[in-house]
Amino acid sequence: MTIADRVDAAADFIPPDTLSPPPSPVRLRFVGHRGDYWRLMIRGGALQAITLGIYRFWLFTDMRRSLWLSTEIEGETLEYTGTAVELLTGFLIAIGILIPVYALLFVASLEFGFLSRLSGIVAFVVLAGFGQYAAFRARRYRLTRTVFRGLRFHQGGSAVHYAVRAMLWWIPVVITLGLASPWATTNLERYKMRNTFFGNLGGSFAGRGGRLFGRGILIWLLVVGPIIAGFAAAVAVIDWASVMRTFGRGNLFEIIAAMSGKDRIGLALLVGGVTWSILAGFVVYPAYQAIVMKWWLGGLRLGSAAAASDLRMRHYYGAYLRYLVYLLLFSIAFSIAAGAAIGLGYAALGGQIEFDRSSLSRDGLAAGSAIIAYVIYILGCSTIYQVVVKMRLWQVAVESMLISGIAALDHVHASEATASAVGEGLADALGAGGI
Amino acid sequence: MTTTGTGIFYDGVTSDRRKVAVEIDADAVRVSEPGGILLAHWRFADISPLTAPAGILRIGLANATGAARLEIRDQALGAALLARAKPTDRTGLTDRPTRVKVVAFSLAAVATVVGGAIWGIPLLAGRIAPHLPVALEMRLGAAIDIDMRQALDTSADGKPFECGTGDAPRAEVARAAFAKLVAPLEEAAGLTLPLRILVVRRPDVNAITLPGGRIYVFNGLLTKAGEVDEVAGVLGHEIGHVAHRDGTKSVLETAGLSVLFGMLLGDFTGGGGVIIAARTVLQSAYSRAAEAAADEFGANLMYKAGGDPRALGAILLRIADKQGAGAAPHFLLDHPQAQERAEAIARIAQPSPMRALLAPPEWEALKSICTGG
Repeated sequence: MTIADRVDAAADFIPPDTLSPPPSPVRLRFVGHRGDYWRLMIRGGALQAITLGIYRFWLFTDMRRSLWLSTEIEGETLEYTGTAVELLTGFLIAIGILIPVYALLFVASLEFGFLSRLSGIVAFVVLAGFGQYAAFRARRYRLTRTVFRGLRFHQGGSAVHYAVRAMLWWIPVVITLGLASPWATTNLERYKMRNTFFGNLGGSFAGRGGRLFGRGILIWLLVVGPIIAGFAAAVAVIDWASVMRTFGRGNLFEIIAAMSGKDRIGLALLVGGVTWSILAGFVVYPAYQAIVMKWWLGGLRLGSAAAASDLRMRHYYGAYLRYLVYLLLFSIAFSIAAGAAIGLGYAALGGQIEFDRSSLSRDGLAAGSAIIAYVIYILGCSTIYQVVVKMRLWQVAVESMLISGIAALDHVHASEATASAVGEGLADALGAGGI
Repeated sequence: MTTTGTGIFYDGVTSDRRKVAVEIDADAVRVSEPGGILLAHWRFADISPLTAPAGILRIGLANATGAARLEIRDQALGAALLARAKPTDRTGLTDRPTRVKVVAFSLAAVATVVGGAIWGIPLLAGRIAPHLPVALEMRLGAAIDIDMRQALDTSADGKPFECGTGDAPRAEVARAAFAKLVAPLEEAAGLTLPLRILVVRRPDVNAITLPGGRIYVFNGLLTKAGEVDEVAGVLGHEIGHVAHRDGTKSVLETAGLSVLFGMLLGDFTGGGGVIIAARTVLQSAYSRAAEAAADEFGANLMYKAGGDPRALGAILLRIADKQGAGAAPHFLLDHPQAQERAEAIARIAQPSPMRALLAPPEWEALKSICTGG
C-alpha cells in the first residue's frame, strides 16, 4: 500500500486544467492561512479527545473545506460541499456491514479448526479487498462533493472492479519486492482518472510507469537493496542448521557466543543490511514522496487541460525538518507542563491520598493521569503533523502546478451524479481513510 | 427598496463564468445579465450561504441538485444581502450552536457506550453464553487451545508439553492419582460437558480454563502446593469457571468491547491507548466478578467432595506473599487481592466432614508427574 496509498491520499483534489500549450500555462495558487488551520486543528483535537473520536467527522469535514477553499484555479477556488452528518451516517452503515463480515470471519476460523492460521490470511485478504473497495468509493464521495464553477466532479467505474484490479496488482508488486509498483500505480491511476469527470469533461492519466521507475530506482536500491543483500549474505554464509541447534541455549548473547565466526559475519551482514535499510528509509522518505507526487501531478489530465508540476524536493524536506523541530519543542513544553501538573496534584492531594502505599485511589489516579497525558501528547503531535506536514505538502503541491490548456474548463456542461458516504465510512472503519 | 450591485454567477448547467447584475429586493435575489436577461430569481427562504474565501459571499440554492453559485465580492452588497435574507446555514458546520449540540450529543453517546460497556456487555454475555450449544463451545475451546499451546509451550528441551503421558509405571501411578483427585470434583459439579484436565510443563503456580471444559494445571502448582487439598481447591475454582462458562463469556465480552471501543469510538490519533486502557480495566472488572463466583463454586465443590474448602484461600495467600503484595495495581489484577478472596472463602466455607482426597504415596506420585517418565 505504498505508492498507491500516497497517490490515493493526494487524490482528493482533482486537478484542473486546460487546453493547448501555446497560451501560457496557468499556475495554481494556494490561498489558505496557516493560522486558521492551526485554530481549526487544535480545537478539533481537543474536541476529539473529549468525545473519544466522534468529533472526527466534523473535523475531517472542516479540514477538507479549508483545503479545498485554499486551492485556487484561475481566480476561482474549489468548494467542498460534503457534511459531517453524511460521514457519520456512512460510518454507521459501514459498521452495520462490517460487523457481520467480522462475525463470519470469526465463525469461519472456528469451522476450519486447525486451519485457523490460514483463516487469518483469508481475513487479511478479505479486509484488504474491502479497503480498496472503500477507498474507491470514498474517492467518488469526495469528488461528488467538490464543486468548481458551479459544476460538480464525479466518478464512474466500479469499486468492485477497482478492488479486484488493485488486489491482483499486489501479486507482481510483492513478487518483485516493489519494483513493479510504478506500473501498478500507473494502472490504478489510469483507471481512477479515466473514470473522473468534471461535469461532462472526462479525465485521463498520462503518467508512465517507466518514468516513475526511472526516478525511483535509486531510492529502491538505497532502501530495499541492502535488505536483500543482507538476507542473501545470511543465507549463503550462515550454517542455519547449527544456528538452530544453538537456540534454546538461553539469551541472545549466549546464542551469539555459541556461533561460529562465519555465522557471526553472516549475522552481522544481515543486521547491518536491515539497519541500513530502516535508517535510509527514514532519510529518503520525503524524497520518495516528492518524486511520486511530482510524477502523479504531471500525469493528470482533464479533457485537453494538462497539469505539470515543478515540485521541489527541498520543500518536502523542509516540512519534515520543521515537524521534527516543532515536535521537540512540543515535547519539552509538554514535559514541563506535565511535571508541574503532577507536582501540583501531589501537593493538593497529599493529605487525602497516601502516595506511599498501594491503594485503589492512588493507582486509579496514576493510571487515569497517564492515559490523559498520553492522549494529550499524541493528539498534540498529530495536530502539529497535520498542519506542519500535511497542510504544507498540500500547499507545496498546489503551488507547483501549472495547467496548460485551461480553456478546456470553460464551457463544460453539468452531468449530475451524487454518491453516498458509505465508502468513506467503510474506509474510516477499516482505517483506510485519507483526507 | 432594491439594492443593486454586481457579482459572478455560475448557473450550475455550464462552467461559464458570468459577470452579472445583482438586485436584492424585499424577498428575493435577482440575477441578470448586463443586457437584462434574467438568469435567476432566488427567494431568500431558499438560499444558503456556502464556504468561500475571506471577503467573498458565496450563496447557492439549498436542497438543489445542481450547484448554481452566486459570488458577491462587493462587501457592502454582501452585507446588505445577509442582513435582509438572514439565510440559515443549512450545512450546519460553521455556526456555534450546532457545534455545541454536536459535542453535547457526542458526550451523551460516549456516556451510553461506556455504560453499555460496564453493565450491558457482561449482562448480555452472561445471558447468551448459557444458550450456546455445548458443541460450539467445545470447538471454540479447540481453536483457542492451539494458540494457547503455542504461547505456553516455550521449553526447548523437547519434552512433551503435557505431563504424565509416558508408558512408565510411575507415569501411570501419577495419572491414576490425578484421575482419583478429579473424579469426585467432576461428579459433584454435575456439568453438562466432559472435562479435559491436563497437567502441563510450566513452572508458574497457576491453572487456566479454556472454553469447552479444558483446564490446564501448571506443574508449578503441584510442586509448590503444601497439601493435596490446595490443588483440589484450585481445581474446584477452575471447574467453577467451566460451570459458569466463563471462557465463552469472556470471548463474547472481548468481541463486544472490540465493537464498542474499536469500531464505534476511539478511532482517532491516540485512541489506541485509550482503547487498550479501557479494555484492560473493564475486562479485569468483569473477571474479578467471575473469579469471586468461581471461588464460591469451588468452595462448595470441595465441601461436597469432602476436601478442605479453605485450602484455596491458603494457597492464594502463600502465592501472594511470595510475589509481594501490591506488585500490580489493585484494579488491574484479574484475581481480587488474595486477602479479600481468602476471607470471602472462609466466610462461605462450611465445616465439613473431611477425608483424605489422596493417600500420601499417591500425592507424592502426582507431585512428580512431570519428572516421572
